[in-house]
Amino acid sequence: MAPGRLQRRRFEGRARTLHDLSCRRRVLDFMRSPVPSAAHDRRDRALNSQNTLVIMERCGDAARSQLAAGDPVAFQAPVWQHTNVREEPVRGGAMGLASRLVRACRQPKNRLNLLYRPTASDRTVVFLGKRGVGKSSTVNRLFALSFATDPAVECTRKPNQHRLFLADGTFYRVVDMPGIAANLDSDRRYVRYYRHWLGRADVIVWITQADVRAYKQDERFFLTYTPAVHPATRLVLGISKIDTQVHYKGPVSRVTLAADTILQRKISDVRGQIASHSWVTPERVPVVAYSVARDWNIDVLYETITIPQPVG
Amino acid sequence: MPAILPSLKRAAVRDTEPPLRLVVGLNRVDEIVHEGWNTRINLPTRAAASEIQRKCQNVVGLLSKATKISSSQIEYYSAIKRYRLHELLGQMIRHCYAGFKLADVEPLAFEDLEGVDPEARQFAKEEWRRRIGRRRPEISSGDKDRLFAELSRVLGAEDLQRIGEELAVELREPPRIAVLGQAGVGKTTTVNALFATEWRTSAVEVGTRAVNSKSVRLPSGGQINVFDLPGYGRSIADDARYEQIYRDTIPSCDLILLIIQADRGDLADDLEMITRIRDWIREAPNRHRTRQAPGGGSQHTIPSDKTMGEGS
Repeated sequence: MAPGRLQRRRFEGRARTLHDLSCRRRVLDFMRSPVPSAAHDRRDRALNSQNTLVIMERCGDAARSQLAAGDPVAFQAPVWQHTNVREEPVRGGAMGLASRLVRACRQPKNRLNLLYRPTASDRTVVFLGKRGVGKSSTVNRLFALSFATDPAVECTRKPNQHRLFLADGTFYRVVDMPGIAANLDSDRRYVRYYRHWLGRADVIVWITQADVRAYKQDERFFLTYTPAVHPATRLVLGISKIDTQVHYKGPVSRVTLAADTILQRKISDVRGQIASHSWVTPERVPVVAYSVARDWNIDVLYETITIPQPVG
Repeated sequence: MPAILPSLKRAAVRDTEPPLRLVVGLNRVDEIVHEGWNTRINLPTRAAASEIQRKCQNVVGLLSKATKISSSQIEYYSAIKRYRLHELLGQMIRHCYAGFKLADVEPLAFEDLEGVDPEARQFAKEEWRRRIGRRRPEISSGDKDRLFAELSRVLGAEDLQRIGEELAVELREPPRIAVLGQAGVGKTTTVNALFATEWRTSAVEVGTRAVNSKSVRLPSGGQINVFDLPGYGRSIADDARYEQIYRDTIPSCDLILLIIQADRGDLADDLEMITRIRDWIREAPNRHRTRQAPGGGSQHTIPSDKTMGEGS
C-alpha cells in the first residue's frame, strides 16, 4: 500500500493522574509544554524522591497545579499522518495514545509517520562509542525505541535514525552509529557515516563502558575526527553499565561511600582520557554514569542531552 | 591480474608461517548478559550460556582474520567467579609451544590423595591403568641407540653434540607464558586466580605498568614461568612506552594467553597486537634466550620446538 497524501493532524490526550503521565515517555514527548528553566536545577532533589516528580517538572507549572487539584490535563500534539491510513478505534486517555503511538512507531512507514521537517531549532543527537558498549540499548531506553541489540555480535552496521518530537517543542533527530574499533577495517568501512553525521551533530553522546579502561581507540577517533566537528557541538560522555563497577543496591542516594569513591575516580579518569582529546574543555564536559539494565540515572542522561541551550 | 599476485603471495607466506601459539581466554563471562549468572550453583544461566557460545564463535571469526586460530584455542572463564579456571589452565598447557617440557610430568594421581576411601582408590587405579597407562609408548634403550646412531650419521657427531647441549639448556628453562590483553580486561586478576599470586590489581586506574613474572609450580607437577604484561590500548602514549617491553618479552615466550573481556566488542587493538607480534616473530624466528645464550647463541638453531611440541 503506497502512502497517500500527508495531512497534519492533531492528537489530543487526557491525563488524569500522574501515573498516566509517567507510563510512557512518548506521551511526554508529545506534550507541548515549555520546560521550566529551573527544571534541571531541581533535578537532584526530584531524582532522590521519585521519578514522577521529574516528569511533573517537565509538564510545566500549570499542568502540575491542575493535576494536583485533581483535574485531568488535556494535551495536544501535532503529527503528520498519511490520509489513506485506516483509522483505528481510539482508546481514551493517555494510555490509549501512548500505546497507539508506540505501536505506530514500530510499524513500517505507511501507518503513521512523524516526519522530520527541517527548521533552525532542530537538534541532531549522535550516539558514538566503541563496539559493544551499549549504544543501541541506551538509545532504546532513552527514547523508547526498539533498535536491534545483541550481547554477543555486532548488530548496528549502519546508522539507525529516528525523528522525535520532544516536550520542549523541538524536533530531535537521534542517530545511533555503528561502533568504532570493532576490527581492523571496520572504521574504514564506516568513515562515510562518521563524516556525514559528525558535521551535522548538535550533541555528540560518547559512550564508554564502565569496566573498560582502554581508551586508545577513542583517543585515535577524536584525533581523526575533531576537525570534522563543529566547535559549538556539545559533547556528553556517558559511562554505561556502571552497575558492573559499582555494586548498586538502590537509589542513587544510597550508594555507599566506597562505591561513590570508585564512581568519582572513574568519572575523572574518563574525563582525563577521553574529553581531553576533544574540542571541548574537559572540565566543561558533562559525564553521566548510568545503567540501562538497572534503570539507573537514565533520567539524568536524558536531561543532560536535551537540556535547552542558550542561543548565541 | 597483477593486483591478485601480491595478495596470493601474502597468502602463501601466511600459510607457510608456523601458527602463533595462542590461547584466547574469554574473561568475565558472568557479565555477558544482565543477570545471566546463577550465584547458587556458580554457573551461567541457560540464556547466558548460549550467548557465551555465540561470543566465542564471533571472537574466533574476527581473530582468524589476523592469524590462524581454531575454536579449540578459545576458552571462556571468569576469574572473579572462579569459573572454569582449570579448563583454562589445561588449554594453556595443551597449546604451549614447549609442552614437551611438561610431557613427562606425572599427573596428580587420584589414588595418592588423602581421605579417599580404599575401594574408590583401587577403582581409580585400575581405571587409570586401563585408560592411560596402556597408551604410553615404551621406548627401549635399543631403539634410542639406533635413533642416535642414525641422527649422528645424518647430522654429524659434532652437530648432534651441540644440539644435545642446547636441548639440555633448553630443558632446564620452564615454559614461558605471556599474559596479554587490553588494559583492564583482568590479566592480573586472572593470574592471581590461577596461580595464587598476589599482584596488585585496580578497579579504575592502571594497575600493572611493568612486567610481573613468577615461576609457578603447577599442582599437577611441572613448572612454568608466567609473565604478566602491562595492558595495551590504554592510550597512544602508553602503547609507545610499552612497545619495548612487548618486543623483549613476547617473542621469547612459548605461549601467549590473550585475554578478552566477554562483555566487550572492540577487538581492533587485539588484532593490531597480533599482527605486530607476527611481525616480530618473523623478524626473529629463532627465539633467543638472552639469559643463558652465551655469545651468538641465537645463531644456532634450537631443535625445532614446534615439531617436538606436537608430540606431547
